[in-house]
Amino acid sequence: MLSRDQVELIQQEIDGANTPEGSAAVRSLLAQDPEARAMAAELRRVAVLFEQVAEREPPARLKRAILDALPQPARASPGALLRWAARGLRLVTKSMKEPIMTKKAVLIASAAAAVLIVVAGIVTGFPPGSRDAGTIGGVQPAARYHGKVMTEADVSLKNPEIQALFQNDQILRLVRSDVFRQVMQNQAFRELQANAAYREIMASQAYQQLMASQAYQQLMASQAYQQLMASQAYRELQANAAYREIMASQAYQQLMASQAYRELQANAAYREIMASHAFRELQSTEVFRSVAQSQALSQAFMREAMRVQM
Amino acid sequence: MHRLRFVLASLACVPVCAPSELAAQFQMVETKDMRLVFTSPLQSYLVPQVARTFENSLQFHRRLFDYTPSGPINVLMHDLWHYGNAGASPLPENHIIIGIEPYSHEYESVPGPERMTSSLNHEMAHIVTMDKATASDRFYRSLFFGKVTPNPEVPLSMLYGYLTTPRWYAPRWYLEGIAVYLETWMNGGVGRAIGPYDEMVFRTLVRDSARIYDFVGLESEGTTIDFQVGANSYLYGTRFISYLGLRYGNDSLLAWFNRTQGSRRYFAAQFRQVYGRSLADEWSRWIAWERDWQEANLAAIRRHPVTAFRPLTDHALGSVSRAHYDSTSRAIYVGIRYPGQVAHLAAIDVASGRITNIAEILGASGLSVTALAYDPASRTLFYTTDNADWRNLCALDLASGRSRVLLRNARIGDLAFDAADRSLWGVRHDNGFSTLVRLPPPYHEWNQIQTLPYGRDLFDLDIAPDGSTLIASMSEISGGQKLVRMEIAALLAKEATPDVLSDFGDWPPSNFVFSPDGKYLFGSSYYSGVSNIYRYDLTRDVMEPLSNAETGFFKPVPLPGDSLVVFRYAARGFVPTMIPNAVPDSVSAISFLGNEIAATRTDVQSWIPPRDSSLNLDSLTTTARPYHSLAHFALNSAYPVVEGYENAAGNNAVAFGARANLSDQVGATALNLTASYAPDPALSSDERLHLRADFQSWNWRVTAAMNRADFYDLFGPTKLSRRGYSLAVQYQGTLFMDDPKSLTSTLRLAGYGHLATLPDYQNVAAPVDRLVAFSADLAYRSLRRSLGAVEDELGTGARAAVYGKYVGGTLFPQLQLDASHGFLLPLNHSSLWFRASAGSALAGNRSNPFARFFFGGFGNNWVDYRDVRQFREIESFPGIGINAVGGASYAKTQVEWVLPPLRFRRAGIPSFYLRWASLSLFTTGLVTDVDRRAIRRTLASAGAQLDFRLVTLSHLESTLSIGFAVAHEAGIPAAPLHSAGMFSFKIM
Repeated sequence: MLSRDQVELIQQEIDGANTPEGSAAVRSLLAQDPEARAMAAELRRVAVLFEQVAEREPPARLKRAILDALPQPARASPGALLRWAARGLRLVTKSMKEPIMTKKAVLIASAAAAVLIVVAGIVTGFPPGSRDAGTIGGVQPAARYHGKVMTEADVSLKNPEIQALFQNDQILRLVRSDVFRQVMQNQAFRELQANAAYREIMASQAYQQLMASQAYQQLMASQAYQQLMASQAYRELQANAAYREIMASQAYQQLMASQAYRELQANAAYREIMASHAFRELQSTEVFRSVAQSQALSQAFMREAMRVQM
Repeated sequence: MHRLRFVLASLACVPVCAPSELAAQFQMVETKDMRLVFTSPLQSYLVPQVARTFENSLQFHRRLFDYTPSGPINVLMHDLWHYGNAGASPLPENHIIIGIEPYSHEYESVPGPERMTSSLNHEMAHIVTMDKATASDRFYRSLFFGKVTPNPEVPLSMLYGYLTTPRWYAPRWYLEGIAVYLETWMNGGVGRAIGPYDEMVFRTLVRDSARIYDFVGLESEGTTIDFQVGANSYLYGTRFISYLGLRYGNDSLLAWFNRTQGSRRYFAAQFRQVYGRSLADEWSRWIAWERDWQEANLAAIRRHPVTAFRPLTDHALGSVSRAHYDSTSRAIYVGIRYPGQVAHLAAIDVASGRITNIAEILGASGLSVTALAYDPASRTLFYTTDNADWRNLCALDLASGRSRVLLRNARIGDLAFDAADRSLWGVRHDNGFSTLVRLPPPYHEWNQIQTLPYGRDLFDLDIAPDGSTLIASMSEISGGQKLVRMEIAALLAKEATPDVLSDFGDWPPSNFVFSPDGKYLFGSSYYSGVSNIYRYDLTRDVMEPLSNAETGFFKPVPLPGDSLVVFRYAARGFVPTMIPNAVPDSVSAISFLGNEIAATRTDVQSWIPPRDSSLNLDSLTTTARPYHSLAHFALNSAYPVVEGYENAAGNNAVAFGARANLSDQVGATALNLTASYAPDPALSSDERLHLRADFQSWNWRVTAAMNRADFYDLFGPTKLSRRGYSLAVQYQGTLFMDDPKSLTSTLRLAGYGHLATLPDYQNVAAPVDRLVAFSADLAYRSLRRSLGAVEDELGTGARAAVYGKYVGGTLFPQLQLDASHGFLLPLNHSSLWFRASAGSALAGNRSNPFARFFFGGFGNNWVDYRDVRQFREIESFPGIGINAVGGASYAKTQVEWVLPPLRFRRAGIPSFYLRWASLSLFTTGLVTDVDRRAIRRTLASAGAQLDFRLVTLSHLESTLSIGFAVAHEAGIPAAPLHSAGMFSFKIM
């Protein structure tokens, strides 16, 4: 696993902020470490994304703290620091409005913001004195000690998006419905899950490729499934060679042509659920369309749906 | 352990799941130092975060205290509450319980960053300070095969427990104080050690010349009748520990808590060893220091004119909810909760200050009471019940006074009403997420508007009068909070972007609401360190202060004209108060004790756990797998016991033996085994060996005994020992649970052999050797108590039971019904109870003892462990002897008046003190053989019982009871009155 310093070094290289020694170190790292190469590619892609995002003004207080930090050239070059700060803040604050946000990007950007805040704290020291005094007319703000504040980089979660999906009332209504229960208990459905073709897909190289693909990782790490359809990550997945390979794979075709699959489609409970009001409502949501169109997401969804039912 | 049992009991009552299904959902993940059990696979997304923060926190404590746990620490993660919380105990094994819900932000009383980190930083401090052992502690742990949990059935376990885990026997303020102190620094300064609420509490006590408790008074009175109740342990503990850190440094502070070789077992003795003076002396010094500190802060506030205010009521209301103004009745509607009376919705007349109780709030929560919204058009108050758990959404029609439940287990709080389309908005907490939801009329379903990513929370909602925008406070992973605004149309279109209206920097915005004309927002913030009211001009985008308060102003309610109602913090709670809607000249900042510590005791700045993102979780954890309680069944402890045994001839013998306690990791399954031998020649040889086994797993319980003996049979007239053997199987299920209401059923089948006396009646000889008994009962309970109560004070209970005894080919069925109802009197903590019971044999020879019910006696033993008020039990009849009266049918009534308890502020020493005394006066009537005039007996009695609650070593609550009753039997005018006294000491 890459250390934070190594990630920082790569980021500085992309920003053009490295010293010649730093650049040499990066080149050496990229030559030796495939993970470093992947990270560099990822960061370059994030850098491209930055260009698509409108500038957002960081809070004045933090901006001042950063500016106060600038006379310390040993810590980072001012330009890189500011760019980094702006990007970090953009990424942290835009999560509610930007549809595409990869987990890695969040981690990197948040780590950047965290490092900045710590650096600013170290440089400016404590207590901050008259910092921010008078920003609300006539009120002297109380000072507050700041240590190393937590950021999103300090939070490690495993596919929270799947769980967040079950906060949707329509999905909950569906998975708790009788027809859904019937489908879950349906013999044909169980057969499908036990189907050799289905299992073959799971074990196929194409599927493994998909699982390991960057586009898939981005998809799994994206902030909200409601935004998936519009996301660059999702479009990338659809265009991904591994994904297309799966769609065209013999195993998938075998699955589609399997007796179990046909039985499921012919199953009364299945048809009932398809015709149900709850299902139609659900189908109309972006969330469900996203899930339905991704087999991996469907599997994760079905697995969790069965748990929600309990 | 109590908390763990509570959690498990709650789990067993989740209505959607049978316990077996629930148990099947339990998952487990292990690392070298942690065994994490989570109650649903849906929580698995949090496993990496819990594992990482656990390891980081443990590493920190390992370094700071040189602590190495003796084995993996158990962590139980669940989703049963409305707000996130956690608990820890070293008994019987180290375990931590974490509720994954978002934290409460009420009054910023518990500031914190990401909750898993914050909770584990805090709870790990508990584990370290309570579990760390010296060589002598380890010796006793090996002698007793583990740490001993005090068990009322075996009072000697108190002593064993103290020898194995001495630092568990410390007051809560001591344990919470250090945990909060460490947690604050571990969180990077986000925590109650730099808490504005904490500063306000003590500043107010000084300003109002109110009592700052000494450390005995804090435990006996401050944590029981003060409106802050248990929160006072945190407030006082944090403050005292912080003072010690500032004054003497952190090395001595840590030495007080670190159980190193040579340290003293008892926390107060260790204090003297470290600081060279008594805890009482230092506590007094702290109070003097605190007064100086707060006087300086008050002087800072008074550098500018303080805001004039007019209280609306003549007394503080304790905790209050958000309030709403009704222009029709010119009243404020608010949920209030204060000691002595149950929490309720109240109408406060703005002109007169008169308070009218509108409706009881079932399950009110600590500081926030309830979530409250108001529809002025239909004059409907929307509020929540079961506020600490899965909240119900209710509506109260002010015209009719009728309340109805709209949604059960809705889990929705932070209500706001949209007058434009009559929809209700709120924030739903589920599986660790906060979801903004909308409920269209008739409010029977909710629709997701937006689910926030884990770690972000939305609260304190309000909606513009024209329904165009929604405002709220939004918190981040860092613990930072902002006031945000979102367009309703955009929210409905799922396209909303929060617009940050004002960044209060380090100090969060609270309870901002729209003015009636929608042009302003009014709310509060600790921006200057003191909670003042602020006004945001939406036209000019300007935030202005509206007050310079000495204590703190909260939850503003804009009134027509130039004034506001705010809730002013006072020593006894919040007081509705009028202030002008005018901008003061200037507002000065106050100083924080925590800041002073960070500046002068700079070592705290390095108290940061390694937030090690390079921690390789894959190498730490195993894959999640289902949790099977039997697979984790282990011996917790084993120790010697002493028991008493009385045979049918009345010979009392002393038996010596041992007891072993086994349980699984989460306490869902437990087995206790006791064996003893009485080397007494007065006993026949087949009565000298005594065995008892008790196995419990979820709803099931299996007990077996041979010549049952009992510790408490060493004393007094009540005997539980019985000759013979028995085997019983019991199932208890919950048919309905909506706290405080519950409906449970219990089925029991038991077989007895070699009997000498009846299993249920010690003084009635068994006419046969063998017996098969079964019972089935249905019990309903809805019992409540007000803040500061010593027991349930009002409510209803009812039970219907069928018993059957199969003896020698004959079945003796019996039916028994009983009910009770109590209500609070206008006198605080005083209630009146009515109880009634009736029973009858349904078949069989009515003179046979198996067909009869027996009554008599207070029911208490000289030394006891059961409930102290045994006179309330059906078989009790004070004034006559035990089992002295019997009948094949009966009817019994009782009226009891419970007087307000007398609290003792300072009666004892830290290790032993009196907490309260409570007096009950009661009268009881009994008629036996109701349906047979010839043998019918009618009795009446009147009596009193006085109970004294004592606390030993902070945790062990004992009760000393004395009672007296006289009884008279009707129809025998010449017969003298029977009378009986009672003395009983309940050890635990």
